[in-house]
Amino acid sequence: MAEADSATTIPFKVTEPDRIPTPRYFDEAFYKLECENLWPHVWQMACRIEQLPAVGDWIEYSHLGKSVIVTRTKDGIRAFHNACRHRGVQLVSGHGNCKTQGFICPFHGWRWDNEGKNKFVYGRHMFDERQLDAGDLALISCRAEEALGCVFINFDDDAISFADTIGPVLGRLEKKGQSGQRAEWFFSTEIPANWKIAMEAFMEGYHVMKTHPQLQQAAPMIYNMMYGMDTGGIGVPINPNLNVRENVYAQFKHMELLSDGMSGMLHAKEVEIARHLLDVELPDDPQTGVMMWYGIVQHQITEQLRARGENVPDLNAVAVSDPVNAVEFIFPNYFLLPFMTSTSAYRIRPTGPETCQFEIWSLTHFAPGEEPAPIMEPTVLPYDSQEFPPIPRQDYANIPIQQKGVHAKGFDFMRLSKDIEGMISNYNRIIDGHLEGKPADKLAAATHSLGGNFDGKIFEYDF
Amino acid sequence: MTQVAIITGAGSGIGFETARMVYAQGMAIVGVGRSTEKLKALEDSIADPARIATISVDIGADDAPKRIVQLALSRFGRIDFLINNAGLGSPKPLDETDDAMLDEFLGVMLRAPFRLCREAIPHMQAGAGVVNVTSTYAMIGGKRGGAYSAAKGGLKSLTEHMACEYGPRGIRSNCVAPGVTMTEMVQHRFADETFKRVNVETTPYPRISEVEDVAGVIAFLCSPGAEMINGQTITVDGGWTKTKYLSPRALTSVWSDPE
Repeated sequence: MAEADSATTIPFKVTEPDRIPTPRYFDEAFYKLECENLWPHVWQMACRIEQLPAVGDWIEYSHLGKSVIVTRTKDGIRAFHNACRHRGVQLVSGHGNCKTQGFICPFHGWRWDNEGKNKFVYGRHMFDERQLDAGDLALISCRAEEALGCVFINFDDDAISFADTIGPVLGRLEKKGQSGQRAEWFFSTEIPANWKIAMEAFMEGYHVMKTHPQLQQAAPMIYNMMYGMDTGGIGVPINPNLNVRENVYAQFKHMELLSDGMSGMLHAKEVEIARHLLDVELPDDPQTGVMMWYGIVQHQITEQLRARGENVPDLNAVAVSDPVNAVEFIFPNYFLLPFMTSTSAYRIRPTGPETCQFEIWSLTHFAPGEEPAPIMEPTVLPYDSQEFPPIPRQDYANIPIQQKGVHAKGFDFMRLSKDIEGMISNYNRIIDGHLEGKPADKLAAATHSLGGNFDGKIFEYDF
Repeated sequence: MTQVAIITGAGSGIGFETARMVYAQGMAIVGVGRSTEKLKALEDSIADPARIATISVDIGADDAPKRIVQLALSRFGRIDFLINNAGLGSPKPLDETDDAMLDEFLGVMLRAPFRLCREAIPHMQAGAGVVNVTSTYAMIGGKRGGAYSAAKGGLKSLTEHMACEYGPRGIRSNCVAPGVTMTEMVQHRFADETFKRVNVETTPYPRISEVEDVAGVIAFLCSPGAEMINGQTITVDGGWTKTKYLSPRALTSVWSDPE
């Protein structure tokens, strides 16, 4: 942890919760503080569990120059720091299976099994006994926990557990079936923007009207209800000028656009089920009818996908017992857009003060035996590639020009809505807490408040 | 038009039967209860997933009213009737009631309905209504009423206030006051001969209320036929509170000193 006496010394601290100082997004010293005081102490999504199906399977996770081997042992998943105990050469890169050979250092051929135990030292007799102490020669363990269908690692041996760090939203996401989902596709791109700028593009739905106008235009009532009409005032969730059937068609059009636009967040199989319910009997009152239609769609998706053998949650029941928001953030850099029984998942890692690696997975359930092969590496595309689905492409169009804009003369701070951009403030102030080395339990308590905070308010924290 | 009714204590007894009856009147149901299994039984009994949603929640929890109302709005888009039925039985006389029991009874049967009404009323429109299930013990003094009588009496007064306050908006508020009714909550007490005789021999009707008798009156208050009924309590007790009936058997039995 950082020294407590650095408490008042961090630059560009958020002091007014609704104003975020802009140098946080490009200043070298601030970036260095994050590298030193934030990243070594937080839980990082290292890989998908399905990437390690068999004992001996391993995959490398690297971030900001630190590399970890995540591997499946006979007792479950473990992680080790990726460095030969001899002279420090990284043992592996990429992915593979080490069951027969173990991990072999490419420099002098020293070897370890996947429980970290040294199995071979070439020319042992040339080394002093104390250099070859078995305990000291073992690979250094790294904290690793399984959740949400992923392995999360933490470089800090004293960190609070992943579950206690993230808090109750984790249980709700698991009830929504996250661990049962598998990747259908996996894209990666480098974006010329600070990692926080990229993250913050997903912390509110207020940008949909201008950034994703096709969604707004298909079903303006959905957005009027949340952000108000452009003429002022908050709208109702249906268009009162349309009858119930026309309203349902508008909602369905929105579902189709969301599905096409994300290639999977709302899965095509779910859209097809909804399509067959467009003419289901509904009450004449559009408001009741539309809501009831969604209930019927969710019920049918549950029933029909279960009939295919998919272990999906009861969507109507789980919406009551374990509600999750449109976007749920796993601090600091992983987030999920869970919709119906499928999900878009994002991981954003800094590669410099003004660049980040931006990755997206599309996740869904499969019947046993029908799962696709695990995707071991992302499809890497330039951020402006036309191969990205339309919705991320629209987001990527704004992120780099926001990065340029924050450098402008006189643009000293971002101004946030206290009502719906609170997540951005809450996030940045929790980051400040890490940079200042605040008590881990208080940071964890604050991190819990991020669950369900999408489109949410600014909170006060006691650190 | 499909109307939407929220019913608390819907997992069993009067609430369960009320949910079935108002559903049969064409309404969509939001069933509120504690036990997931009992709510599942209600869902299975109604067997129309498009028109029933349930929520397992501690009715006294801080976020319970919001979650219940949000469920009604997210699944059915409106709220027409709120039926506050959840309750507790087996009270003790005032001098035997500890603070925990007092808080529990007032919490479930006065504070919880108060808070749920407060959350739901803003979403109700003309033609909507609230039915609060009180008790004959809110009408007359009863032995061993204690915190139960206090809670039910308070709920009756709250209902009358709401009738006055929200009646002008076309929202009616009424009480149904069951006497002793054959619910799970009461059934076991009938094994006690004294309890049984005290009730049977003071009721000027040849049987004790069943849950259908009470649910039927609640369902009626949620129907167009009850449009001009506001601020009332309808007792469902076979005449127990309105008469000084004593069965000939009780009158002619041999006097014995009370315990």
